[in-house]
Amino acid sequence: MTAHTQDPARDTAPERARTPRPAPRAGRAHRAATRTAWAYLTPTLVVVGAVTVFPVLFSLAMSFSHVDLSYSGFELEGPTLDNYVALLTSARWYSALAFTLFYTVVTVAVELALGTLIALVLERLTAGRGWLMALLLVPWAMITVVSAQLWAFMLNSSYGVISWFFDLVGLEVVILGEPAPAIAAVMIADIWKTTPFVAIIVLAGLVTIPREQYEAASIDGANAWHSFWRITLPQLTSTLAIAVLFRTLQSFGVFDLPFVMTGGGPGTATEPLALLGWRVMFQSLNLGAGAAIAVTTGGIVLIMCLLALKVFRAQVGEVRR
Amino acid sequence: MRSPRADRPPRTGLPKAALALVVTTVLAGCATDHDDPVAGQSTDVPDEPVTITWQAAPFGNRGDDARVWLVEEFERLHPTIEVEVVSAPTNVDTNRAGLSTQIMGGSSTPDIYNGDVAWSAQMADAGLALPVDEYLPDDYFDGFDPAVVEAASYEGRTYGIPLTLDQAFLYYRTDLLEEHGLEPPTTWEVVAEQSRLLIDEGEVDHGIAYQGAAYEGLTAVTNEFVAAAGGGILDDALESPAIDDAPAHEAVEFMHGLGEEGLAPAGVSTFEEPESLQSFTNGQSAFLRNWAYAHATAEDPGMSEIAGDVGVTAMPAFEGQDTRASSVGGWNVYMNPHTENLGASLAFLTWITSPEIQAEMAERSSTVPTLDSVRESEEIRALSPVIAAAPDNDLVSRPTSTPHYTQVSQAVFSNVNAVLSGTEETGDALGEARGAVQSALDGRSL
Repeated sequence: MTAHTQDPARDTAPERARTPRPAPRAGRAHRAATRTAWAYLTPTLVVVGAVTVFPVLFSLAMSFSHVDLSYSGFELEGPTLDNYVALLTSARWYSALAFTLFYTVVTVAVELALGTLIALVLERLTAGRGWLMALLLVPWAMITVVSAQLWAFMLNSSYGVISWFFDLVGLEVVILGEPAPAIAAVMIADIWKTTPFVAIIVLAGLVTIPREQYEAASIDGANAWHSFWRITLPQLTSTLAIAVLFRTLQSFGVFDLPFVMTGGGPGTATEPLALLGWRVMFQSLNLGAGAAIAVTTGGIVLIMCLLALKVFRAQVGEVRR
Repeated sequence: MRSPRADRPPRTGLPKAALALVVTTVLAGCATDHDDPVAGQSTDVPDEPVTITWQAAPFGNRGDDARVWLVEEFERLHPTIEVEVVSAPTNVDTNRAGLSTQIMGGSSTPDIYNGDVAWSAQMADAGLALPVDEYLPDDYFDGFDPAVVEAASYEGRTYGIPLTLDQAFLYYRTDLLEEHGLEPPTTWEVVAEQSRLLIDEGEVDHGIAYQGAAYEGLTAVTNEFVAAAGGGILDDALESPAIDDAPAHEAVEFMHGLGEEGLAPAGVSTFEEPESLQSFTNGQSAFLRNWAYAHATAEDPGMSEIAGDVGVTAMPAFEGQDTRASSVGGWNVYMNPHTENLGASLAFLTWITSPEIQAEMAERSSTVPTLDSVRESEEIRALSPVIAAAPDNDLVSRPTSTPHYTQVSQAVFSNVNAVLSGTEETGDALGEARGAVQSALDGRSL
């Protein structure tokens, strides 16, 4: 559009701006502007409401109801606590909860430790950092279902290379067929995949720490160990908090790795809450109990994240004092 | 300065809209429950052109994808009906999750869908399948094996049209048996004995491969073993658990013993169909328990090292018993209760279960016919060794007539898997299984 094009809206706008406005009209204009803002926001709010708020509220309602399925859809009868009672009396739910908690705590802790180590090494690298980072990101970039298939293949008891190696050193174990090794295997697959992600986040935090502080510390006679604990770690806290938050959220909702590698087995040893919830909902068609699993899982992860944030905030505060 | 708050629109607008949305959705769910959701629709083949959708995963044990030629042939004979095939996920559970979400949401498509034989009661109870027997002649189901009809029924009504009948077979190595002067085994004891001999002679690493992972397949296997020992997962009335009774103990202890003695591969507790088949086709195991499809793969030189040496027979019994028990598997076709094409859908369903088409499916796609008369005819039995062995199987349905079958099955396979993987004793595991099956039957389990 050129400047000469007749555009009535444009032509009138500056004119209106020049005219001094009486106070009540300004209020009206402001209201109009607010209305316009709402009009622009409405589509977003409708979408967010439809895909987030409504499902969350609906799951909550469903978790407190008997869901009666019939030809004409489903009917919610309630309120009732039956779904939660079913959870709390089910050994399978406790097993899933225990596995998910254990899995989250261990994988997040190990990924954090390994990720920080890798980031420290990366930061000191002078040549080839770009290449190494690209390489490191391969596991993270790989679609989880695909990498889970690869792990399952390598761990397969008949033809897997890892099983073959175990055989070679005289360890007779069906890795995915016994609870402890199966749990370890799924966790290792997660750690292998996600440590690079943590490393990249931590590296981003590391490069923001001013060099001068290390120089000053070394002049004061601090060794590398002291520098790490007194300078690096305190200033990494907020970065680590982000990493922990992301990882906890993701790890607590783990589904794909156990789904592909073990199907939740042997028994229910590697069945996380998300897989249990999906099965209860869509295999058992037990919608009420499925919703209760979703709600409790959401609640637990929320509490865990708040706790994690609180712990980190407390630490940051300590340092600043 | 004026507070911007004063100009805010009333804040109740959106929450009210959201509430209205919730209420309308819930009300839609609460609409009156019709006994006959397709009331008013004709059961006749329509004169006007219509299109019906059929959701089905590829099926057939060899050669052509059966869906393709079935549709082509049907459309040629019924020029007014077009059948649109919607490809379903091959994973049974993903398939069911998708279908139930769609039909629960009130979708009128697919009009008909292929579903596992184990789904009937659950789909019926949840209003996801139409009782088709209501729209078919009274004697329509007489031509099918009672175990097949039982698997398709719930509370006296029949919901699934038996499209293909799958069953388990014992596959064996003709070359090894011949070399050692052995006959194909008809009892589990002989399977164990021959396995021992073949392992001792250094012919194979393992005796028998089967599906022992913690999933539905292990329930099917357990169902067979227990039935062969004279018991069942549930009692005869299908009302209470029998999984802790003597025959079940004997059966599961036998399965456990196969592993302990090294007659079954060490990893059998992680085996699903592909792993067990592979253990057989790469020559590691002498015997294999698997479904009908395994034959084509095992005889395919591109996929199998033992092609040409594959024998197939009915499932073994236990000594002193004569039940050569095989679980019932395969596809039923179910009808969406919201279909708007009742007449056309019925025409397709009755056509694919006609004797001619069942015979043609056996010939072209190597499926086991669901109609007794077709399956047992000499002509059909001559088509493939699998179909030939089929009539010697005693079909035992899994206890799928409870809408909580999924939970019953979970109770069975997780506990039996614990025995196979050596984490629990048979007695303890089956005691736990009994409790879990009971609470599943009562609708108390997840």
